[in-house]
Amino acid sequence: MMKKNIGYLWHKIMPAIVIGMAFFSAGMVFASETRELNIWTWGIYCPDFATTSFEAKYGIKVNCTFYHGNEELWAKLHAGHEGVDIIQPSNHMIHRFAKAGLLEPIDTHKIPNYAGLSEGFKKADYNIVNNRQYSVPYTFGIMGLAYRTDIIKEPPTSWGALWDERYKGHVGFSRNPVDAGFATAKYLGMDIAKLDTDIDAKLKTIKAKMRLLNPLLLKRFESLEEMKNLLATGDIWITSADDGMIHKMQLDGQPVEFVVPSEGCAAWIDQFAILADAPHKEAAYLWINHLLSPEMASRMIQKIGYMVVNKDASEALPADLAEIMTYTDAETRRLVPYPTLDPKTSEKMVKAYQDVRGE
Amino acid sequence: MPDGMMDSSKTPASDRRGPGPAGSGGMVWLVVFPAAFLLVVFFLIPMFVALRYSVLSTMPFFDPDPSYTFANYIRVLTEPIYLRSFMRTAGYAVTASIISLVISYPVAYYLARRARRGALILLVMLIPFWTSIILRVFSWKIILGSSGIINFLLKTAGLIDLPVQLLYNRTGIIFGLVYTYTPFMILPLYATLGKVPRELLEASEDLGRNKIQTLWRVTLPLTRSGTMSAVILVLLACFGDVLSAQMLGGANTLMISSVIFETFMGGANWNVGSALSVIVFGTLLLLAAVLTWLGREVEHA
Amino acid sequence: MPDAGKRVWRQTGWGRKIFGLYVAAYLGYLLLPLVILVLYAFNSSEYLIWPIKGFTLRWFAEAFSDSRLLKATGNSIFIGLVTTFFSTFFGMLLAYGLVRFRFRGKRLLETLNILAIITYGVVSAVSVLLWFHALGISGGIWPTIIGHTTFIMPFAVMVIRDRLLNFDMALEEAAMDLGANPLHTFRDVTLPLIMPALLAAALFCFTISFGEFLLAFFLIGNELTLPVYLYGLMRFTFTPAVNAAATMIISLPILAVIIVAIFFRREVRSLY
Repeated sequence: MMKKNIGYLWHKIMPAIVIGMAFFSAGMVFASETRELNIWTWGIYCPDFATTSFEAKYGIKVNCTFYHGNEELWAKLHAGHEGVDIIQPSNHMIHRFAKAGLLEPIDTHKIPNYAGLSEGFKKADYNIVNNRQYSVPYTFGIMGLAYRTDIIKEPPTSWGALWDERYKGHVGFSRNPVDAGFATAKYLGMDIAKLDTDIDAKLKTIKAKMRLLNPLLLKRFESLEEMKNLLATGDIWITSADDGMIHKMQLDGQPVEFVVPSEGCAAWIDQFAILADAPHKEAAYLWINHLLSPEMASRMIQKIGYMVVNKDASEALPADLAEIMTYTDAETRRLVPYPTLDPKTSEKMVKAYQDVRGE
Repeated sequence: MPDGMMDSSKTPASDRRGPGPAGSGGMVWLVVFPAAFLLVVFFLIPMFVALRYSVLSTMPFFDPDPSYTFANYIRVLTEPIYLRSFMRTAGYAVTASIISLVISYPVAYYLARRARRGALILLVMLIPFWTSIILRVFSWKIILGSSGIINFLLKTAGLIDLPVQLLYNRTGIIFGLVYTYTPFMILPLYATLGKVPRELLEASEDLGRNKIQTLWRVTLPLTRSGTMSAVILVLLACFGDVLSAQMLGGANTLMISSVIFETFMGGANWNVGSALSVIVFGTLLLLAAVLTWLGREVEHA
Repeated sequence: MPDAGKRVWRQTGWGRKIFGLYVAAYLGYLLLPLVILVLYAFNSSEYLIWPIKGFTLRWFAEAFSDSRLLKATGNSIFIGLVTTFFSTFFGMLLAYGLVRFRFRGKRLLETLNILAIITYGVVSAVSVLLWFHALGISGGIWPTIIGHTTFIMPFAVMVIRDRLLNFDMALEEAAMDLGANPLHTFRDVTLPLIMPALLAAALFCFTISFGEFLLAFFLIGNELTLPVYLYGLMRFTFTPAVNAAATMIISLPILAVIIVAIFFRREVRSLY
């Protein structure tokens, strides 16, 4: 009798127990997987409208911590990143992070909205290390020209407009040696991605060109905030600028316009990257997909002024904003992703700029 | 600031007496010790520290046994950035001092003549002092900008089409310097003008001279050294002023004070910065000495 | 005493009026930028453009919720008070020593005193930084207090010395003839007589220390004083939030002056 009962137990109840345990553990895994999400990002990429809608939709709590620079992020990661899922470095840092083993390869099939990205941003060099993609682009900022439309009547098209004698005493330029160097190099037709090679000779030419700019400059702005104000007050009429700032000014009704120079310019592209040891990888994919949706993207664009790479996002914008913020294919083709520089090169550029400043 | 500040031969009778109350020899040192300690240890010695660093090859932080060298001085004296910004600063300082003198003199004269109201006006003058030099300089950004008040008024009055560039150039800096330092000029001028004995002025008037002649023949000569002290104060202060240049200056207004400031603000070469400081300081001392000698009081009344 | 001046003035009434107007204009020039600074704090537009677009208090909300601003102000007040105490006290001692006695090294001290005032600037500040650096002392509140006291004390010396030179030593001698020792003489005779100068010196010292930028910038290390914090703010913030912070600061002394004018009218009048 006992033997028969145990056999019955075994064949009927064990599967039930096993299945029950399977559901239970899956539930546990699923629960711990998606209960929360930890993000380290730039100050502007975690707005309330995104986190609230995400939490409502998936029941996952979003925790954001902010940093203000790529090097700062690098340092923070090395100091300890327990529990962090997503980071958002700029494009030129991805190789460094990936080679250090920090990043998880991204499976873009898990991100339905990836299909909506502008073509130029899919599978770019900076994303790929050893044939695997390690990040997904999110926003980009272009370092080009900006000018006062009410003061300068004919729209400038080239970096050379900064060197135009007619604007003497009203030109602005960045105080950042690398940005200033890139702008000048582009004007000279150099390939900024290959600046490391033959840097000394190149710097000589760059310096000579920069010196010609000195008498025309009014001020070298220390921050984009300062640039924004100088342009708004009309102290400067034309300047190197980040497009996001200019878009915000246009939204405020200021008579300014952004220009992607004909010689091309650098653009930084902030990425989404998932850490290799992230505890909530599924949630991370959901978040990335959420922010890349046209609706979220267009709201983000309106909030920060910088472009999101989703091409449908611009279509979701109100008409007047869409006009300000979309770029033509010709313009996007002139963009060069912000290159990674050899530290020695950066040092030399800093010294070169210092020399030029003093004269 | 009292007249006798620069010229010790003018000590009043009470001071020219022999040693004071009994047992003064050692006791004096007890009395003045704290002040003397501070001045010697935290004013005098730092000068020598700067001197020492200026002849070292690197900061002891990087290399515990640096070598002695003149390389820093050679750099300062040969690289054009240093000489150019120095000359530029000298130009700004002289301009600002002259303008300050012209503006301040009548105010100081008025205050000196009107003892009662003078004190009240001085109190009112102290209010801006309380608000920190930073704010006072910053406020000019709003006034002088291309969209600032002055340009607004000029435009409304129809006097100009395009805004006048008053900021981020030499004009802005001079505005800042003059605004900052006229109070520093008024105080010593007020003190020195107040010391001209009334009887002398009255006597001069009695002799039939009018106000202007009295000013020229009596007041000015008597206050020559005091006036020169005030000018020296402001002139030297302009060399050491950082805020006007940083906030109201532009791409082509680099002042030597900014160069020094930025050197020590960041991690740049502190040895070169020290050499620069020593040279600037030496020049200032020389300038002060020369001007004092030039402005020494002529004894006739 | 005032009457003697009147004789010289009465002759040219219109000259006096023009003069008065000029001085009034100068005072206006001194105070106007501050008025504008305050005005802008209420500007609804974030750009520093004249004229003002609209009225808002949001910048004040921003400033009030800025904990670093409040901390910096607290530091400045503390440093100011301590500096004032030591500057006035040591300055008084030095002034007394310089005026009443002759001793070796007197010339040196007088020279150092004057030089400290005249050469104050970025060079002095940087030299003190180097000295602390050589001593291995990193920045902070007390190094700043030391630096401030060293350079502000000479101002106190000037003010007090001026007063000491101008009263009759006979009073002191009389007291000592009557049998008082030097310390008692000082406490009962000299001190009361120079009290106005001491108060003026103290006010002056606090004013200077509170608003001082250069020494504080180099010596404060990881802490903040108000001017140092404002400087950082002004390099990167170009919204009226800066003006709001400025207004909060400006209102302090104006309030103080108003209080003094109303409640201490008699004392103020007795000063002159």
